[in-house]
Amino acid sequence: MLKVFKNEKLWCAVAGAAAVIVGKKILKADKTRSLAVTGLAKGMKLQKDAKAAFQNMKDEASDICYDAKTEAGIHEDAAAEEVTE
Amino acid sequence: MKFKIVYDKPQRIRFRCGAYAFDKEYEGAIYNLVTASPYVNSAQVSSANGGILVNYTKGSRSKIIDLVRAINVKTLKKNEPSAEFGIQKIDSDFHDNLFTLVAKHYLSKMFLPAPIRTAITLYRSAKYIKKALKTLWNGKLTVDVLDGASVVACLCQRKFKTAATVMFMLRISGLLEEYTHARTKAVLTDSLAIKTDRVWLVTDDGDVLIPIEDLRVGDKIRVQTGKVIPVDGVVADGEATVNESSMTGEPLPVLKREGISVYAGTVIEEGSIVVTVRQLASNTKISKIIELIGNSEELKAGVQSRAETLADRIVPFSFIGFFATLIFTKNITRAVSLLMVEYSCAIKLSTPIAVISAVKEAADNDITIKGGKYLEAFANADTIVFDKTGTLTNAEPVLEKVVAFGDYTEDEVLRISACLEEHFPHSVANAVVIGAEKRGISHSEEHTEVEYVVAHGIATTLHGKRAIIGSKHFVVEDENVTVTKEQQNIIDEKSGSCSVLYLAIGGELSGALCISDPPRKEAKQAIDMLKKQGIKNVVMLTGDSYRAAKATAAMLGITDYKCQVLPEDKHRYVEEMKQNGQKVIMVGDGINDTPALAAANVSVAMNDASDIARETADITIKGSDLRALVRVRKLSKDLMKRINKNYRFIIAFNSALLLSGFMGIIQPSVSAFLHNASTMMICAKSMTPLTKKNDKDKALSLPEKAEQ
Repeated sequence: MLKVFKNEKLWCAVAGAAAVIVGKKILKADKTRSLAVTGLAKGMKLQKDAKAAFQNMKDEASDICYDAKTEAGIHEDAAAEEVTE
Repeated sequence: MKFKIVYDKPQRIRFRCGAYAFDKEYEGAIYNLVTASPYVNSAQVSSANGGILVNYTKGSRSKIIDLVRAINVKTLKKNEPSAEFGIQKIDSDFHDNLFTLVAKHYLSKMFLPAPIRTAITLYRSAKYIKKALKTLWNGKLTVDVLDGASVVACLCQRKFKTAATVMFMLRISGLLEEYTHARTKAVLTDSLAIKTDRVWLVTDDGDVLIPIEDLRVGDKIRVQTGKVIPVDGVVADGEATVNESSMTGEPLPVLKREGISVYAGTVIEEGSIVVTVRQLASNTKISKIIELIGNSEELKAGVQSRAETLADRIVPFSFIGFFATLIFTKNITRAVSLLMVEYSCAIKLSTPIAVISAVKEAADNDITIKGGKYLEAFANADTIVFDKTGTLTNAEPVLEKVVAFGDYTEDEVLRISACLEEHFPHSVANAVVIGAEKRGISHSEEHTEVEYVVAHGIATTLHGKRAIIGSKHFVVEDENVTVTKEQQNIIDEKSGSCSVLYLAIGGELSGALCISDPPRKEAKQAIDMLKKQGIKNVVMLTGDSYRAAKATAAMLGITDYKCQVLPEDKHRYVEEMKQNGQKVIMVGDGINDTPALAAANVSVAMNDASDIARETADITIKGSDLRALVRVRKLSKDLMKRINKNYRFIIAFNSALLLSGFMGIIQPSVSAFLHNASTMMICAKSMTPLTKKNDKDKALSLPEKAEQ
């Protein structure tokens, strides 16, 4: 009888079955679900914020370029108005 | 809408409303709303950070701030963005996608552990393998199979990095192809749609010009002489003769008056009508043209179709090379190098990009080309045929001289002629009426009702005698009026290169009116430039007399001319030239040029051409400057040069890569990188404009002589 308990394969099977039961419980648990949803939402927000930050950078870079062009006299109207102001 | 002003300089202001202010679907609506303001020059809208950039007119800053403050996203509709906004979006999407693709590739290389990277590579490769298997299943051996095979070969050798690099390159190529196609199409739509497809809406406050999209069933629109009726409907007011040949094939115009139906696509030959809209044109002419340019196999340049078939035909040879190398060298790395490199990808990608870019470049210069094949035909042509009136000339004839016979004085001849001609508003009649006005001759109505004999002249009764005015053919042959030798000599002497109108009263010749139609000032320069560009024969077709045609031909450097050509003969002349092995460009403008335009290898309609001629022509030019033809010729020749240069480069460069791979000098990953990088480079080069700015200016500058 004790020999049976010494069988590694048996323990593996038991552990596997236990893992399936526990795993199923964990997956079905509200807490896990809400954790996953929060995680996903955070990920999505992070992605959106990254996009916004990238867009901000692009905007600022284009504004700097525009200013440089104005200074160089390429946008003549705007440059003249800036001087008068 | 709440916002923060993050940039504020004269005539440029940037608002930021935050990443959650509005969704991507509303970008177009906000853009349309902002740019609809008369104070706004241009705008950019981005939902990523809720940014609105406005470039505005001087002194309207506060109006712009009020405008943006008043935007309420809840009341906006997710409408179709305008073409201009579409181009902006395509550009920014491409930059973002390219950035994301490159960043992802290198970030994952740097930070992800090797097993995860391998898993991702395996996952991505499935797409290429699936596509290759699908193509093979359909019995085709195309570039897709080659792509799949390269990926599989790398995976089999457990070279996951190489496989990842190959797929990365393929994705960049795909992105570039997609971008070029979408952008070119959007630019074409934009440049073609702006100035066309507008209609005169009849309202209580008068006629208003509106875009055809704003037209609703039941609206009333006014359509005038020479215009295409844009919708199906019923005549509500007015009278006009309508050419319905595009629908019925019947060449004679039909009279349309109140209550009678008219159809979209038919052309008003004379008169003006108000049409009640019954059915809107769902597909406008322009959108059809754009679809055709993109999709129709028939319209693809021969060189483009050849490139595409050639590309796929080369694929089996790549496989033969692969197996041969494997057998001879027993080295799979070398063999795989051969799969990484092939000619087809670059040829297949760069040729259509070059053609579409050239079409787009032409569109930017107000030249519409309805397909790549016409650019090719234009480059290969050796003969150009001009319809004289309206193309080589301004179609604004001028009265030069008056000759009087019998008891009549010059003033009397002119007075009677103007009295008869004023009833028919065609260009020659106008020349007579204006000529009389200039000489201070007034006339009262002394004749009975006038009768118009189509394409010949006018007849009436004046003080009990039959009075006729018109061509020599009409007066002498149809009406049997005698012109003595002496009279003819006087007319010939005075008329020079002018066309002559004959006036006969009571069966006797009373006078002649010499009318000239001076050539456009740039005509000679344009013809000289075309000759320099390799056009051997310049032919003029005209209804004028031999003397007039000869004089004009000599003045403009025309190599051949056909005089006294009847409208129906133009088509025959073009056919004859084609049978003699000439490759013909026909330039025309009138309704009667349509058959000749259709018969030529490639046809061009100028700005003031009738709608029907514009519809038939393969190339339409929005301006009336004949030098635009030189620009098309140069563009088409440069395009052919570029395509051939691309071929040579692709074959030389990739052959060198193949050889290096075969000899084991370079690794498959290096050859994949070099091959794809060269493909991208050649595609990027094919997108650049063919005409340099300096050349453009040169082509347009008039020599002093022409200015005078």
